[in-house]
Formats: sequence, C-alpha cells, structure tokens
Amino acid sequence: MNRTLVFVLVLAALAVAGFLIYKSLAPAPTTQPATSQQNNQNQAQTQNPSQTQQPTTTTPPQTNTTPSQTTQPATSNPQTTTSTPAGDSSPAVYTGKVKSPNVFVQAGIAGVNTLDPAHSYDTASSEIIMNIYDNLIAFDGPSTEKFVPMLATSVPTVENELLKLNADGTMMMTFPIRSGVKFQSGKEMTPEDVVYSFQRIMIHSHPDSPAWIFLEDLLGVEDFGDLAAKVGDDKACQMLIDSVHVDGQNVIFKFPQPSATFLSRIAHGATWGSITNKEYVIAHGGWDGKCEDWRKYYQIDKEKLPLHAAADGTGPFKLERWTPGEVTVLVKNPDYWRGAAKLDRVEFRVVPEFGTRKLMIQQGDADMIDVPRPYISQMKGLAGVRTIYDMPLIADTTAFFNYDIPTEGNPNIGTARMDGQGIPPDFFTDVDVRKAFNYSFNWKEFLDQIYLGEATQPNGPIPSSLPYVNKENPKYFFDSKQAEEHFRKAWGGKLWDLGFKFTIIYNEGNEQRKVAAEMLKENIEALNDKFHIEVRSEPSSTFLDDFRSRKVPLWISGWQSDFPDPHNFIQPYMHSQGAHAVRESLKKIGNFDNEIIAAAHETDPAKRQAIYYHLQQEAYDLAIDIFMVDLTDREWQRTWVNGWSYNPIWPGTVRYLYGVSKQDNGQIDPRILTDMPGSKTDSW
Amino acid sequence: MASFILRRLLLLPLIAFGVTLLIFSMLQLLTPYQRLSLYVKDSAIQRYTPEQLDQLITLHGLDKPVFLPFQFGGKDCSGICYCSCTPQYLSWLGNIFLHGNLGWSETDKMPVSKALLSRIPATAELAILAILPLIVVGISMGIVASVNHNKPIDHVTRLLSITGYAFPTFVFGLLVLLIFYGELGWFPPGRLSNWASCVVNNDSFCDASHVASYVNYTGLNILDTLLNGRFDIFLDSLRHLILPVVTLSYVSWALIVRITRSSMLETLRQDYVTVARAKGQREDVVIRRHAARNALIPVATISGLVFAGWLGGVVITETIFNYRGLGKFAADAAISLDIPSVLGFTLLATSLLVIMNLIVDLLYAVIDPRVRMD
Repeated sequence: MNRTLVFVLVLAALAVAGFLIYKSLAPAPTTQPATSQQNNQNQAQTQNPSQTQQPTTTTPPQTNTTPSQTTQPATSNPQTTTSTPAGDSSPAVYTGKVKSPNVFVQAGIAGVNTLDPAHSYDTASSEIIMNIYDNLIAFDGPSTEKFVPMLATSVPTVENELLKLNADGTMMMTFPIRSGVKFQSGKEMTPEDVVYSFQRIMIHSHPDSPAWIFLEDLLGVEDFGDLAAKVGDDKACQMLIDSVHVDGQNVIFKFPQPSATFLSRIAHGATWGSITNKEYVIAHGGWDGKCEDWRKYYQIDKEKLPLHAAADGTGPFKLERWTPGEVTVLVKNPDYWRGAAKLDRVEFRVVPEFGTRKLMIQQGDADMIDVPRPYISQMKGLAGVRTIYDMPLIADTTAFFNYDIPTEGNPNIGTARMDGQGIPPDFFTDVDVRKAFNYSFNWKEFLDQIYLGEATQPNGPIPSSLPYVNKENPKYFFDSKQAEEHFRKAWGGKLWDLGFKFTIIYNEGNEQRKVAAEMLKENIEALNDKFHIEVRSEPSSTFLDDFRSRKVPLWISGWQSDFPDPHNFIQPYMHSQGAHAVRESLKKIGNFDNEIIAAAHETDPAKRQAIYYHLQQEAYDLAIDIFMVDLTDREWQRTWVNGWSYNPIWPGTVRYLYGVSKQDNGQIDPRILTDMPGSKTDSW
Repeated sequence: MASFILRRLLLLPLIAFGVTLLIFSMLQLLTPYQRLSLYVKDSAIQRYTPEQLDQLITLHGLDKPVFLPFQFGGKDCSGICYCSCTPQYLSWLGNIFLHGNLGWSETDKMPVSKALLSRIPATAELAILAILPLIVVGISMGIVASVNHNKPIDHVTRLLSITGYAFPTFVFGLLVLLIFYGELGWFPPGRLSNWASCVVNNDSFCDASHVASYVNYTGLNILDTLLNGRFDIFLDSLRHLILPVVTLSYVSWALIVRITRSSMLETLRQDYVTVARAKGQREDVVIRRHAARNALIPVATISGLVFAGWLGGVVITETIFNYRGLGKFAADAAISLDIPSVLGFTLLATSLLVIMNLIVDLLYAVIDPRVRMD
C-alpha cells in the first residue's frame, strides 16, 4: 500500500514536470509571414523616413534622453513579468513596458578577442569597435556601393578631383579631414591621427590581423616584413610614408596602381579603418610613429597592444568595461560630434547557452540575442519579439575540390590509385568528375531542409548581393542522368568501370556541412555500386591539421566578406595564391591571375564587369567548385527596439547602435525593407 | 597534529608537480597544427594561407619540444610576465617560481592568475551556499529515513533523492530555469541584474541612488554588498543564486542521504546504542548523541570531496545559469587546448582537493574524539 502511494506520488510529480517542460518548449502556432500588424508597421515605417540614421548629417540628432531617465533596475518588478496572452500556447513572455529604456542588452555566443582595430578580425570584437570608433567614410544606409563622408568631409571621386589617376599609372586619393572632432579622451582629432592609424596597422602586419587589406592596395604586399626583406628597411619605410601622408588638413593616399576597391575597404564597419588617437597609443607603449623602429612593433602579441583592452575613439560610445568571457559595457559619448547617442549604456553579454538566451529575450532582459539556425523554430511566436529575415549577407558556402592531394600518410584517399579502392592525387582534375559531382548535389532539398528556403543557390563565386554578379550565369542543378553521363566519360571510362573510394571531412558540430556531405554521398553512391564516399567529422584541432596539410580531398567551407567587392571573393576562390585556391592547387586546371589583378585595378565599371562576367563563366565551364549556398541573414530583437539599421558588411548581431533607442512599438530602419529587396520582418 | 598538517601540505607540491608533468607529457602527443587550433578558430580557418599558419606556429612557439628550457619560438617570452606562447615545461616552472606568473590565458584574454582570481569568487559563492542545504537537508533526510527504516517516509526520501541523482544536471537546471525564470520571472540567470552590476562595477550611468563608490572587498557579492550597506543588491544577488544553488544541491542530495542512511542504520544496530536505550535515555538523545555523531564520518568524507569538486567548478550549472565561474573556464580552456589555462586551473584544483582532504581529516577528530592525528 505504502509503495503504491509512493509510486503514485512520484508519477504525479513527473507528470507535472513533464507538463511544464512541454508548456515551455511547445512551439506557438505559426504566424503568417505578413501579418496585419507587420503591414501596419511597414506602412508606418515608410511614412517616417526621418528615422533613418544618416551618417552624413552634421546636425546633432535630437535625443530624448534626460538624466532622470537613466538606468532603472532591470528586473525589479517581477509581478509584471508573467502576462501571457489569453489562448496563446507560447511560453510566458514579458509583455509589459519597455525594460531599462536607456540600456541595450545583447546576449551573444562569442566574446571579444581584442579591442584593438589594428588586430581585430572577428565579428564579436568588430561590432564593438565599430560603435567606439569612426572611419573616414561610411556606407550610405544599407548600400554597399554608395558612400557618405564620416571623419572626412568628402568622398573622393574623379568628379570632385579628390581621386586622380596619374599618367605614370599611380593613383592619388585625397581625404579632407573634418575639424573640431574630439576623441573620447578630449583630444582633438587631426590628420596626423589618420595617417598614424593606417601606418600602425601596416607595421603591425600580424598574420591574425587584417593588415593585408591595406598592404595589398597601398604597398602591393600582404606583410610589411616581406616588403622590407625585398627592398630593404629604408626603402620600405619610405614607401610606407609615401603611401599615406598629411597635406595640411588633408590626408593623401598614394597607390602604385589604381584601386577599384579602396573605398569599400575603409568604410565604417571595416574596423581596420578606425581612426585612433596617436598620442594615446604612443603614451601607452604603442608604435612610436617612427618607421625606423618598425621591427620593435612588428607582429607583436595582441595583448601587448595598447588598445587591446582600452579604447579612445571618436565614435558615439565609449568603452566602460570589458570583462572577457562575460560582458563588454559601452556608455554613450555625451560629446559625440554628431550629437549623443540615444542609449545610455550598451551591454554585450556572453551567454553561451541558447536556452538561457531565449529566456532572456522572452523576459525582456535582452533586447537582441544570437539564434543559431537550428533553433529558429523555437523562436517563432514569442510575443513582443520581432524577426527580420532574408536580409542579404555577403557570405557563401562552397564545396572545394583538391586538385593535388598528398598521398603520403593520407588515409582519406584509400590506395591513392584508380583501382576502385581509392582515388589518385589528381582525381578532380578531370572536368567530367567535377561536373558529375555538381549534377549530384540537390540544391532545392538542401536549401529547403537546412535553410528553410531562406538562402539561394549562388550564381558562381560572387555572392548575389555584390555588384558585377552575373545573374544570368548558368548554374548546375540536380540531375542524376547528367551526373551519370559525366561519370561514364570521366577518366576515359575507367572511373565508371573501376569505381572510387575517398573521404569527405567536415568540422565537428557543423550540421549544415554534414548534411551537404551526406547528400553528395547518397546521390553519388546511388549511381554506381562501385562508388564509395565516407563522411567523417573531425574536431577542430585535427581538422586544422588535415586542412593545413591539404590531405582533405573535398571539403566544405565558406567565405564571409572583408569588404563588399567582388575582388574579395574572386581572389580567394580563383587566384592561384588565394586562400581557397592555393589549398585546392587550382592552378592545375587554369590560371586566372592576370584577369583577377586587372579587374582589381580597373576603374572603368564596364570593363570591370566584362572581366568578372568572364571569370564567372569560366567558373561554371570548368566547374571549379560546387557553389552551394548564398547566405542570407536573420536577426531577432524585442519589438521595442527602435531605429535599428542594417548593412550587410557590418559585423556581429546588433551592429551599429548610434540611431537605436527603445520605445513601445519601435520600428526598424525602413531602408532595410525598401532598399534591400527580399528582406522581411515578422513580429508577434 | 602540527606535524600531520605539515606532512600533508608538503605533499601538495609533489602532487602538483606530477600532475603538470603528466599534462606536459600528453602535450608531446599533439602536433603543432593541432595545438594551433587555440589561435585559429574553425570559422576562420579558410582565411589563413599555409604560410600564415606556419608563421603563427613560429610566433606562438608551437614547434618547439615542450621540455626544452627557456626556448620560445623566435621570441623572448621567458623573462617577461605575460606571453601567448605555449610554455615549455622548465620555463613554465621558472616563471612560476621567479615571477609568480602562470602565463597568458587565451580563453580569458588575460593572465592566467588574474583569470583564476576573477572567477574564484563566483564559484566559491555558489559552492559555499550550495553545501549548506546539501549537508543540512541531506543529513536530516538520511537520519529521518534511517530512523523510520522501511516506513513510507523512508521510501519517499529515498525515491526523492534518487530522482534528484538520476536527473541530469542539465535537464534539472534548464527545467527550474524555465519554470522560475521563463514562466514566473522570479529568478533570473547571471550573477546580478544590470542595474546592480552597474553599481558593483562603479560604471557610469547607474541609478541615481548610487552615490558612494562601491568597494569589492572579496568578490563574493553576498558579503561585499552587506559590507557596502547595499541590501538591495544583496537581495538581487540572492535572487540570482537561488536556482543554481538548488540545482547543485538537489542533484547531489542522494549521495549524502544514502550514505547518512546506511551509516546510521549500521550505527543504530551497535551495542552501545542498545546500551544507551537500555539506560533509559530518550530516543532523540540516543539518535543525536550516540548514533548520528558516529555515523557522520563517511558523510564528512563525501561532503568534503563534493565541496572540493564544486570549488573546482561546476561546468553545467555555470553554463545554464550563465555564471562566470571556474568550471566554464576550465572546460573552455580544455576544449580549445589552452595549455597555460589548463595548467593554472589544474594547479588550483589539485591544491583545493589536497586542502579539502586535509580539512576533512581534521574534521574526523572533531566529530569523533577517538580519532587522533598520529
């Protein structure tokens, strides 16, 4: 009897627990993409274009922040946090008034790596840096092609004669520098600071840093040490000084060849273009500004850089505190030259667990959170939360062929011969093999299953949101008959008769890559019993080792842009020394170097287009890779977030917060929807 | 007694030496490229050309044998305080003894010693608060169960504690967070609310009532807030501690309950307990004075080990409740092969374990006067 009672009690307890779990995890009813609420919201946004943040404005924007409105206890009113809409099966969501109206909280996965713009090359660090520092120019709203001045007063163009193409083949770009702008420490920003900022990055030249982005254009190398080794210290220093120098209130950049990409390399969002305080950096032990001392400051560890954990920019927010792995706190710069930001405080919190992040936005304790793609369905229907999706993202995912696979100690290619038990090192140099692989990939199924239809098949190596992409360029499609035809032709018919065996490797935990690899395996093995592909995951340490030694016959990886120009994709994908192409040994099947270099220096848009169109056609004809996904972006935020704007090149999740405030019925920057076709928003 | 303590403490450096030597030996099994994964993240692998990867290996000294003295790859990292090189064993030891420097933590982007110090208070606060309910409730339930052997209360106690033990921490933690934060909004994750953390860190733009600067005496929020006279932040801190404390205690109750119960059952059958009863002593006195005290020795051993384990970090609880403590630090460091951080943590955890064992041994003498430290 007693035992029965106990069992009943325990069962009851488990039932209650199960019910609560179910209630908390059950997805809410799916909302139609275009709700009337959303339509009203979009309409309202269009009617209120003045909300758009314009970097060009020199009139300080109106702020409604008063000292009395400063930080309220974020969770001091627990009785208001339990309201659930009647009849809604979604979890309890905070639907009360705006919490902490002047404090913005982001809960993200990754923490800051370094705050020094000369070293930072990751998105978590960069999104913080771009809120602390200004650049010479900025992108015009969501555009990646139009520029507006920021710390410069004009954008150089041929028409305004600030961009000059010289008869000797060199190019000069002049930036008139804005006066009266102060760093957060109070010191006035001068053209010397601008020159110092660019030269310091080039001297730093750490392989982890983005220094190559300037070095490539200004000095024709990717490492200042290489230049010094080639031409000697004195000459290298002279070249550095000539490449960027002060002329009165102007800063002049001199290029050995015309550059079609420099403006997009330095526009705001590219944190390496941040203007730093020369005096501050020198006073704290940074490069002394004398080129002859460059070796002392060359490739030093990031933690020894003066701006690693400190900051002094001219931007709208100041660094208050960085507790690595926990939080980075910014506070508004009340003296910002364009007028103080609307938010008092911004907290970038590191919350590694998705469940915790979701509960934080649900309770209104976070305004934006990181949501990995597999968790999207869990976020639908949360009252008070908005998603903006199908926003263009300049990034893609591709399967790369290895054209020259090392055989020694390589377990991934079996016998390393064409005998049905392995593949030879040059297996993929036969174009029919590559075409057969392309025809074996089912894009529709992959995009629907993994990306819920929110991504597209690329037109080639250039993502569709960039200029010079040829949207008419032919694409491969899933067709097992054509795949079989090409496999039968490959290697003079030997491949079909003998078969093959090799391993596709992906890095552990990457679900998208796993599915892509398994899809290829399944479709190819279905064609012929003698075709065998093994799919294996590796932890990052082993993957890196194999990747470095190029022992992987086929791998799936991607590229996210550093600057929004086709060169930033064509170069890594198709130049013999490009990051991907060099690993593939792409030169074994073709050499596109001259065309790629010509396009990068071509300032005539029509000629540039012709070159890029030709390269895209070549990529298709030779089936150099399997271009799998053109990615789009999706963000989640509370509906009280107001004035949030987006540019595909801005790093991170919350991105630029200058124009952002928190208010009931907040609205996103309408240009996200009007200027970027395809972008959508839902809110609940 | 003093010589006993001294002998045990003298063992500590030897144990630490053995453990670190073992870790360094295991390092030899990894290739430089495997160790490079600390500096080159998965998402950025494709950004590096093979030459840049080689350059990074040289920069971080990953290609040098780890037992060579004072040789860092192309850099002078032996004498200076902080460096992101992978340490070689002798120089690592030298840096500890000569400079008190444990190296650079890539996981926390700060010196290892600073990283450990910044994370100890959070974990200590959690462990200290969680051990109290664990011992009080665990022992009480164990005693009640044993006294009511095979009665309904015994069954309920055992089932409840075993259910807790069977519950994976991850599931239980997430469940209570879903209910008490997601549904009810009572107990949020993290260590403090935004407004309180603003005050505690003396940030700008805090609430208007924050006039005097806040002093962090110990890093333990529950103590520092009282010392600063900030009861509002004290309460906020408690709100944040309740769920992780309950999670940590509940999933470990079964251990204490079962040990107390079985130890008590054995003690209750001893002759001296029968004698005490025969002398006419009240049952509660028999249980409290004669049985419970003798039954507590194994309980003290287990509690000590559990506590030392908690002090060394509780990865899952810290992750779910977004509590920045030692456990998360150690797990992140180990996953990314951050050797200096792993070594620093190992030294700390080893020391804690040895010291906790010593304390437990000393407690034996307090619990049972028959035990002498000889």
